[in-house]
Amino acid sequence: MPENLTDIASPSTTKKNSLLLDLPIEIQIDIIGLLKRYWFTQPHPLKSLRLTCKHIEALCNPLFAEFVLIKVLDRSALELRKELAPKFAKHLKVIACHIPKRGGEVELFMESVLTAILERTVHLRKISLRYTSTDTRAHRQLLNAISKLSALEDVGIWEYDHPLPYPPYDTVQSTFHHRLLNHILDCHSQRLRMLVVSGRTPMHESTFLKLRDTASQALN
Amino acid sequence: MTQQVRLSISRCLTIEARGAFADPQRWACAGRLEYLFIKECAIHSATIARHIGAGVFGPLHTFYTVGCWDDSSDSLESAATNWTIPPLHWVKVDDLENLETSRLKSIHAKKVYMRTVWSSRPLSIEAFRRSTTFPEAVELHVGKDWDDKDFEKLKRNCAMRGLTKVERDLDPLYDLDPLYGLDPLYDLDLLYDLLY
Repeated sequence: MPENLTDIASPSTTKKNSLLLDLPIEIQIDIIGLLKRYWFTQPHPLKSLRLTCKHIEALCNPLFAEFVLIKVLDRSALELRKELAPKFAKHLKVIACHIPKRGGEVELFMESVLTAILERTVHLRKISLRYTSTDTRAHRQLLNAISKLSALEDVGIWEYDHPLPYPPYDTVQSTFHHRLLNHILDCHSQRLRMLVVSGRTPMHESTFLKLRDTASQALN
Repeated sequence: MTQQVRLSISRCLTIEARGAFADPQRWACAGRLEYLFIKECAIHSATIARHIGAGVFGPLHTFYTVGCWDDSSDSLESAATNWTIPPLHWVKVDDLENLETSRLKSIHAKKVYMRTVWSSRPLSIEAFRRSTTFPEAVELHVGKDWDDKDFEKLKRNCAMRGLTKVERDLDPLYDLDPLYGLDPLYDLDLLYDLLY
């Protein structure tokens, strides 16, 4: 079979094609765009393409795939992240994200994207989560995904609205801040190496005691 | 927190947590914790100093505090009198009033970074004449905004107690530790520099 008439179902071709398909889609589009005009003038177009992709993949993976930022983006940008999640999430080591307070369509979609990414991040070491003090939503799926991050060792929890006066102490247990911090301590306290908690929502006394005593309980 | 090496708490320890915090029970992370940062929390400085000295957090490498406020109920508390751990490598104190600073000065540390503390320069100068102010200090760093006259007085007083390395190099606009308050959604460039 000639080089430019490949059997796309053969295992070797699938493996070769995957070099291209493993790249972020924006890069795939750029590469095809660049090659299009020279495609038929190349003696071995597929070979050149594979080689190009291999080099780019090696160069770009650490840069593109170890860190991702999820914040309020337009729908298409979020859709792109969701579409690419199965490909890049396994490489991620750091995620920074903004948890929306409102339960609108875009915000719910954003949270679903974040959850979809988290569910596939097997090597995630660091997560930084920003939230509002008035958020009382449960975010169950998100917390469930966070609980499964088996390599997590560095957590930052940031409140970004800096409320004044401070939120009243008797409402603390209904806040997402409270749920999130307790969830992190319940699921990851034995492995955490760094913890940053920043915000004016008071830390409940029971949470403080958990922070102080977690390892003692585990050792008992 | 069996592996915990760095713990940063900002603002969320309020008066309601003060009683629990005051309990001198050793923290689970003690022995591994190296860096403790407490900012704008309602925890008594005397309690913090006593806990550090008693090894409640284990042998810390760095303690950094900013703007932790006190109230009159702290006036009866004594600072750390019983020091059981090796001196800290760094203590960094920023934006503290007289009462808080006078409690924290009992911390044993090799290098002291001090900015916007005590209500006046003469108080700082006088405090550093005594060897009980940050005992075991071998290095002192203060703000760049100290004028020549006061800075010379400070250096003279420090020299009298054997503290000969005194620098005027702390920028008033930047945090004493660039890591402590890093918010990655706003400081992406810095985060990237630190991570890779």
